[in-house]
Formats: sequence, C-alpha cells, structure tokens
Amino acid sequence: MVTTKGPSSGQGLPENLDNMSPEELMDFQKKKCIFCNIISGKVQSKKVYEDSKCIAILDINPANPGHVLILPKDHYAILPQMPDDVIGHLFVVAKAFSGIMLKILKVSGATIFVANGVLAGQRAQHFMLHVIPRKEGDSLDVLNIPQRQVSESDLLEVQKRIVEKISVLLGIKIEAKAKEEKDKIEVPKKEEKVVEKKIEKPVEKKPQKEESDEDDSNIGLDDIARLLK
Amino acid sequence: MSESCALCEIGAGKGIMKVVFEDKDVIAFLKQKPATFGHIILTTKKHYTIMEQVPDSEINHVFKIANKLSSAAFEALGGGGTNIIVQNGSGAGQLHPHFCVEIIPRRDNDGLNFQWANKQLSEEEMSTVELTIKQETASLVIGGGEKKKEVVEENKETKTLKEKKGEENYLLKSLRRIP
Repeated sequence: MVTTKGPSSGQGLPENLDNMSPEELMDFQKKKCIFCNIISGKVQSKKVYEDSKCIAILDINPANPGHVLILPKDHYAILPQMPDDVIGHLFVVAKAFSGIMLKILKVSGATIFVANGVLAGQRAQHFMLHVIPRKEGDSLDVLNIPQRQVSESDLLEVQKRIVEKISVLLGIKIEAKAKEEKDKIEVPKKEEKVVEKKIEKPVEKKPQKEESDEDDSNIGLDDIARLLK
Repeated sequence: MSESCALCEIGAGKGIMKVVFEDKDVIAFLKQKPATFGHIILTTKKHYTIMEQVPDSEINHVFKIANKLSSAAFEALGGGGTNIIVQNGSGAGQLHPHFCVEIIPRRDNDGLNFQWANKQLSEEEMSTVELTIKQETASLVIGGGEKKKEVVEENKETKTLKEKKGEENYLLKSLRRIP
C-alpha cells in the first residue's frame, strides 16, 4: 500500500465545508487527494503507464516487486461511482499488465485485487486496482481466499436476496437479454414466464415475492454474520 | 467449451450451482464454500484459461457486471464493502483452469484479512523494475485509450498553468450555477 504523506498544504479545512455544493466538495476532495496530485504530476511517482483515462504507478511499498497500481484519472472514491467504460478500461489495462509481468518478471501469475470500501481494506480515497505479480511460494498466502462450510438453506436465502437486487439494478437489461436468448433458443411453451424463470431458475422453492419479502426482513444482517463465525 | 471443465459445465447449465446472474456471455453463481456470505464467482461462458486470453470487449462486459453484482451483494446483505479478486495463473493460486472473478462482500469482524506485508525494495531495485516495465509499456496501446506522451520536465509548467485556468473556469461555472 502506498503510504506517502500528502503534500503539506498547510491550510486546514475551509470554514464553509458544510455549505459547499457537491461540485465544490468534489473539487476540494480532489485537491486533498494524494493520488490526484500524483496524477497531475504535483507529487512524484514511478509512473509506468498513462493514457487518457488512467495512470499506472509502482506501489512504493509493494507486496511483491513489480506491484502496480492502476488509477482512474478522475477522482472516484469507490467502484459504483465510476462509469462502465472507465471500469472496463481499468481492467483491460490490468490484463495487459498481468501479461507483461508473466513475460518479463519471471512470475507464474498475477493477483488483481480491488478493495472497495474501508471494511474491504481500502486505505485511500481514490479508487485503484492492484496488480501483484505472483509465483509459487512467494509468502503471500494472505491473498488466498478462505473457504467456509455453510448450509444449503443459507445459500438459498443469500441467492434469493442477491437475485432480487441484481434484477433491480439490471432489470431492463436482463429482460432484453432474456428476450434475445428466447429468440435464439427454441421457444418454450409458456412464453410469458420465460423472463421470470430465467432469472430465478436456480431457486428451488419458488419465491412468492411480495409476501415472503416481509418474513425475510426479520432475519437481521447480524444473524447472517453470526452464521459465519 | 472445454470438456471436463467444471466452470464450463456450470456455464452450460449443467451444474447445480446457485446462479445469481446470467446472460449470453457470463454466468455468476454463489460459491459453495464461501469466504463470506454472498461470495460470488463470475465467469465467462466461453472457456478462457487465463485473463490474457479474454478479449478486451469481454473484459469490459465482465467487470461491468462485476460492479453491478458487487453493488447488489452489498445492498442485499449490508456490510461495508467488497473485495474483487482475480487469481490469474497458478502462481496466484488460480484453482480452476477457467478465468473467473471473485466478488466477496465484507463486513465488520468477518474474519477475513487480505492485508499483505509490504516489502521494502532498495531505490535501485525499484528503478530496475520501473525501467523493465516501462520498456514493455512504451509501445503499448490499450483498448483504444489515447496514449499520452511522457510528461517532459519543460511541459510541467505549462501543464500546471492550464490546470489553474481550468480550475478558474470551473469555479466560475459553479458560481453561475448558484441561483
């Protein structure tokens, strides 16, 4: 992780912070952001790539030699704030870096890592991808993803909740995509219900949406968290 | 599709996995043995062993969906963030010979810790790595992204000047917006 201190600006928080418009706040954040200052060249860095949308620099405290950070040029704190094309581009660049590392650093892999949110280990207020060159026995076992036993009913509950949310987030698209597929694949007899079924296919017990929703809300997030301990 | 690939079988609808999203290119399902609740595996329906084989257009799509799944898991289960991880290649601990993205919702005291120990490299080691990588990226054109030339020292001054001008305009604009 980069631990560089920000430029000593010497000025405290402006008095009118509460009265700032979102645009002004964004601008203020940007001025205070160490990575925005790296991007603008005000703070030095070991830059290894730059294009119109992003910049890649070496992490000065790398997990492994060659550890690269890929940063969007615009200031976004977390993933959901970024436009789709920027997200896609950052990962296309990450793919290129992974390839370069395999080729020139004599490694046998790369971990692409995103910490999205403080609880996920995000330290800076500027979204970034980590591309970490890896080889067997590099003592980075901390990046291995642990596995836990959970019950079938818990998995079904989690599935149901996520399917509901993703349907809302991508609702129109799912319908469009499902229709596309419907046209391609032979049309089942019950045409009307194809869209619904496609999404919920894996749910074994058919959720009766509205009604069951209320019952489920009794299950608190703490209950879910407790199950994993 | 590759024979005997577990992820290809899931993509073809043969698995018994708990699918949370599917379109013609990708499929996302819950990991049977999750790191946390809501741990999602997102993979391409086509068989690509490693990320480098996945065409840029598909990378764009996969991570657009990864972002939405990340938000969905976050909103559906609460919590304080997500990790998005690609283990690419055996050295990175890739388990299946089929490219996939792992989306792991995080919450307080979930027992996970991906915090690596920092390595201290000498200035010389850092410079060697920097130069080696730069040699490769110098001619790199990625995803139609407009390549910018190295910022030469002389240009720095004009650049900052331009930025300042931009800031002024920006402030003026936001002033005008105030009724």
